[in-house]
Amino acid sequence: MTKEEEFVHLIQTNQGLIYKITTIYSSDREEQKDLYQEVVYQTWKSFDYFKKAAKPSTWLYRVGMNTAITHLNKKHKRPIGVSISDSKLDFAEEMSSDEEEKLEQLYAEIRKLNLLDRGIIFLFLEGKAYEEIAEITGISVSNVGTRMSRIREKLKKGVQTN
Amino acid sequence: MELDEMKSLWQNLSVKVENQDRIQKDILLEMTKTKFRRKMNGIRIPELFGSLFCFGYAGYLIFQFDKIDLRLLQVLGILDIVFLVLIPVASLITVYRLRSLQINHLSTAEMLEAFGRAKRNFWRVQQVGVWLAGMMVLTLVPILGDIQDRLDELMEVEFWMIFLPFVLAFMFFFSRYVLRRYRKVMDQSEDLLKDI
Repeated sequence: MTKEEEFVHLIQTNQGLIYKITTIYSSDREEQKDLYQEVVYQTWKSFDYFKKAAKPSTWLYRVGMNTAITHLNKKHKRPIGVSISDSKLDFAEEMSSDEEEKLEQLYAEIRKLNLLDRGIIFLFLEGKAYEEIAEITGISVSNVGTRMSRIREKLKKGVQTN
Repeated sequence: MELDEMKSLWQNLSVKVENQDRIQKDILLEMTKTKFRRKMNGIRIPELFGSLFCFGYAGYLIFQFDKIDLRLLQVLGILDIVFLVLIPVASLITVYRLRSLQINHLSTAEMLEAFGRAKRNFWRVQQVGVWLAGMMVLTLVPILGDIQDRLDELMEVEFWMIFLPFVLAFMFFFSRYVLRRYRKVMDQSEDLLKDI
């Protein structure tokens, strides 16, 4: 397999993961498309490291979340050139209206959290254990636990108020 | 909504996401290449152009230095040459540091810290650069006048009556813009660091 083919395979296999990261770190569809392109580009740029990485999944989460952090503070841009079609970003629309509404509420509450907490809840929802969340985010396991209980309270309160 | 419910909602989404059509290979590669080209054009040209302008001006002052007769203007000339070299070099270093953050190595907490610091340093240099640039505009005029043997014309009150308010007004508005932007970035960086 050539490097290009390996890269395409990696993105295709993990396009759902990239979609979910870009959803919680962007405020609208245009921003999400731009962030999606940026994550794909950054993955390509550091693809050689990926091949050496001990835990590829940890690496991809890091690249995605770190790209989102550095990208968020930049001026909002329109996606350029070739862009992924809307249909690739419309997963939520295939859900039932009740589910979709709840998901939108959840996104809205997650977006209110600070950048690190957003990453922590994202990894938690992805089913990661506290140890792995600590490894990806670079904070201690006990800190993950403390933050998780605070996040839990905030999300609960937020969703109830809406 | 309880956390367990959120998790199950997220899992439903994950299943739908996994079942979606794969992005086509050619679209993916073209998207990456376009982004790469755009980055190359967008990042380097304005910074390099500004730096080359400063270096060019510094070179001009160095080669014409023997034509500066007044001692005061010679001292100011040396200072201007130093600033014309130091400001773009410092600016390019901070830009480089901001853009070369190891996205693939750092953990999220490390990235938040490194990005917050790099951004603050970048804007500190920009702020100093604006003030020094304003001072240089004022000092370069008499220096250039001396080099071109037109110092007498520049000593006329009318010239300074037009030139000075224009430079001061420009500096006022430009520095106000930079300062506002600086404060905003500092606040954002503080927030980033507070997140950790």
